[in-house]
Amino acid sequence: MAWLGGNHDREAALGEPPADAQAAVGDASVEGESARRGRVATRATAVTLALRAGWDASLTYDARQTASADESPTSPAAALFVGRQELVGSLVNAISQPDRRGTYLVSGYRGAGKTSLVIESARQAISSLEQRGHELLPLVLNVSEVSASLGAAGDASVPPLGIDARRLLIALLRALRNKLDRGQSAGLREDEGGRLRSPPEGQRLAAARAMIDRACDKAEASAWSRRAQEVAELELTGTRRSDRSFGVGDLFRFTSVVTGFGALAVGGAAIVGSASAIAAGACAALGGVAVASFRQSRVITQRVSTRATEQTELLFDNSLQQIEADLKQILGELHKAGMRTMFVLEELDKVDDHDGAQLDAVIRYFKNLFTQAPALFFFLTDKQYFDLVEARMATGRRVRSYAVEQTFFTHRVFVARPPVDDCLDYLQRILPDEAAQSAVAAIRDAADDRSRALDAMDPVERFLRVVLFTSQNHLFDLKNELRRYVRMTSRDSRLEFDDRSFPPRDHGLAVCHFLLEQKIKLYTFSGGRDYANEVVRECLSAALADTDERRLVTELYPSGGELANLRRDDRRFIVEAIDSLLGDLARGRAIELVRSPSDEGSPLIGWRENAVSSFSLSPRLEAHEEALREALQRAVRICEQLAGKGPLPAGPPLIGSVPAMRPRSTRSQRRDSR
Amino acid sequence: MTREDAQRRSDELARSVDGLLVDVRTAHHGRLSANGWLLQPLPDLRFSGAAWLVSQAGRKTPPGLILVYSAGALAESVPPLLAGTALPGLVDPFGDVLDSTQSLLGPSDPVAVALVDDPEPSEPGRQALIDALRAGLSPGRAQPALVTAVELAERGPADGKTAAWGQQTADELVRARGGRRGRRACSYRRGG
Repeated sequence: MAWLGGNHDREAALGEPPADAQAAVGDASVEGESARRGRVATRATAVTLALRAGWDASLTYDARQTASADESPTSPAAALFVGRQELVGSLVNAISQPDRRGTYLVSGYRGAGKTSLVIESARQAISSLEQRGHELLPLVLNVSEVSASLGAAGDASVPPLGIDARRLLIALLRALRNKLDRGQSAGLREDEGGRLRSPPEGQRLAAARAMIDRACDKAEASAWSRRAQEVAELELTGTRRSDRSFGVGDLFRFTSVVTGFGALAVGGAAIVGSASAIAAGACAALGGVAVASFRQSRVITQRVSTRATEQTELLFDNSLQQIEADLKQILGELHKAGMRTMFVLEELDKVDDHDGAQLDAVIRYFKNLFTQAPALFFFLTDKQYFDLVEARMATGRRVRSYAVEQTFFTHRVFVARPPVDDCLDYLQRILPDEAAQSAVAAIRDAADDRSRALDAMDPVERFLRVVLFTSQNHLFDLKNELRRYVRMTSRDSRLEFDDRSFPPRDHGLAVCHFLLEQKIKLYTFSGGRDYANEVVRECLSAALADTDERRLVTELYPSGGELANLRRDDRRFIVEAIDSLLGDLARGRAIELVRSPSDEGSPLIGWRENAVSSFSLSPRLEAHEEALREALQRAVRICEQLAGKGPLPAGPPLIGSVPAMRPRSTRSQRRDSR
Repeated sequence: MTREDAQRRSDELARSVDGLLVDVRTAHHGRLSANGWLLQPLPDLRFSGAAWLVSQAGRKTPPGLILVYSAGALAESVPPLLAGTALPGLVDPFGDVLDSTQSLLGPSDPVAVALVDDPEPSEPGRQALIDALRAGLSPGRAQPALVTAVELAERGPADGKTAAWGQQTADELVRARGGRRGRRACSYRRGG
């Protein structure tokens, strides 16, 4: 037995559309009004619904820049993100403040929309950042990149994904280098206003890039050292020299010359004139020669010399501490250069780390970096890790201590799957046909009803409810479900289903969807209790999951890490919700509750044959509604006996504030009564 | 209606009803006092004025005559306390409270008059209160304790004459005061 007819049947039907369905589609194209409304005059109860272009596109980080320029809700990017305004607002606020720093644990089931949440938040923060003169620098790492950051390229084996401090550091640095190498933020490009980035900022970016390159080299090397030496030397030299000398030989040479000149003068005087005048001239000549021939013999030497030498030797290593310090410095430089850095570590749930030991080691190691560096760090994990962290914190509180996670993650965000209203918003945007719009409106209108028969639903409502039920409100799965029915034409895409692809035996699931959403609504927790609401949905969905084997009712109750994250009253309420749902299913003859052979006190759930087609709702007041009704009746009795004919002259205005507890009649009941 | 909404409304309703009952009990208490009855509260904060040891001025009244205004959790909290006083050797969870209570109750069989808030005959709380009181008072004693119930509004005259309010309770107290030694008739001073 199975709830659904099975994908095989459906895909077989879709793989080759029936001839009559094709004919119907062909008719639709020329059928004017009925085609416009999305209804097809049926030959095989085929329904065709137009699909908006880009209906299943996913948000990506690449789209964030272009999307910021177009905030119109009709733009493709805006259309793909629905709801979660509270969570988005909080994250946008954090991202758009350049000085805010912190670590965010973003958790939730796979496909719940964690990545989309972060992307949309980043996209919305861009304009605010730009107004503050900053540019967003998102760096996305998935765990595969982190895990492979130390692996050899030729390694044929596929080890389990892992994360450790060095791998993470390398991955962070690589991401930084790749991002800046792509020139997106080279410091040279123009900003949005066509203004060149100011020189100081550009210089800072250039310096940061150089630091990143060096840090990357360090981080990736198995052993790394660099020796830097600087020698500064200064020498000043000056020399002045003079020699003077006087020898005896010179005296003799002098005397002989004087005598020779004397003899010459005397001889000349005898011939020419006065002897005395000749003698005086001779003596003067002799004095000049004497001075000229005087040889200095004294040597004076003076020398001044200055020499200064300074030598510095630096050794760099690639220790984790050193690289961490480098990274912190790099982030500081980027911050000063007007870059708002945000790291997103995705897919951490894929790490083979069930007890959280690896991630725990990393956050212990880098606690200071992550919490103090001028950047934001987002850790995207699944619900299991969230449970683990919360359980550790609960344990810490019990023993009056702090779990490291309590201070490491400055914010813990739980991303529940979107409520049905958000899914309906999505459907409303991608299915413009009137038939789809009215079906979505019908689902919304019935949200407060207590019963909704299958006959009251038109085919489109049934179809939409079934895809919502099958995808369990995961947008990712919802798109996959819809893809099964997509038909591509030369012009556009359409949803198409008929009795073969969407057989009547599956239509009953629409009632199950109604019942599920009704229970979730009745047992919802207010005040942003996303985690508790997610557990409610998960437990109730599990109750509706068809299995061939019988299982104990207690298996549906909250368990494991959920227990630590739920208050005692929460657990009780969720158990009530599950019991109520099972009661409805049992009354509607979808299941039977039988005594467990092991007699463990918990009955077994067994699905009946043709449970979907035979199931019918028979609503009752919930236990809490019954309790309130009894309390009201008691209050009325007491007031009447005491304040009516009783001892008190007049009763207080007690009852007027409490609404009547008569169950609302359903739309179908009202319709029937009419 | 959501679970939370129902819970919130139930709480609001309970607070309103409790406020009303406090006023009524105070008035009823005043009526008995005016009729010469002395009411001494059991020394436990949890009773919050809902359980009283009763005697009558100028008359010899056996100890252990208790007047209980039924109020929710009181039905669960009174019997264990009284049982603790009646059974020597029980662990005393309330310290010297039990000692003082025991001294007030004395050695004789306690009897209780329960004033029931809710007039609904089928209201299970009434019988539950009586059973709980009886069970709490009886352990270790030869015979089950005498417990009688009176509606707080006393419904007697249906014509709206409230002057006699308290009379039915007083009648039951007189009967209870006679205990098992014989419910001799006893006159009492009519009040108001």
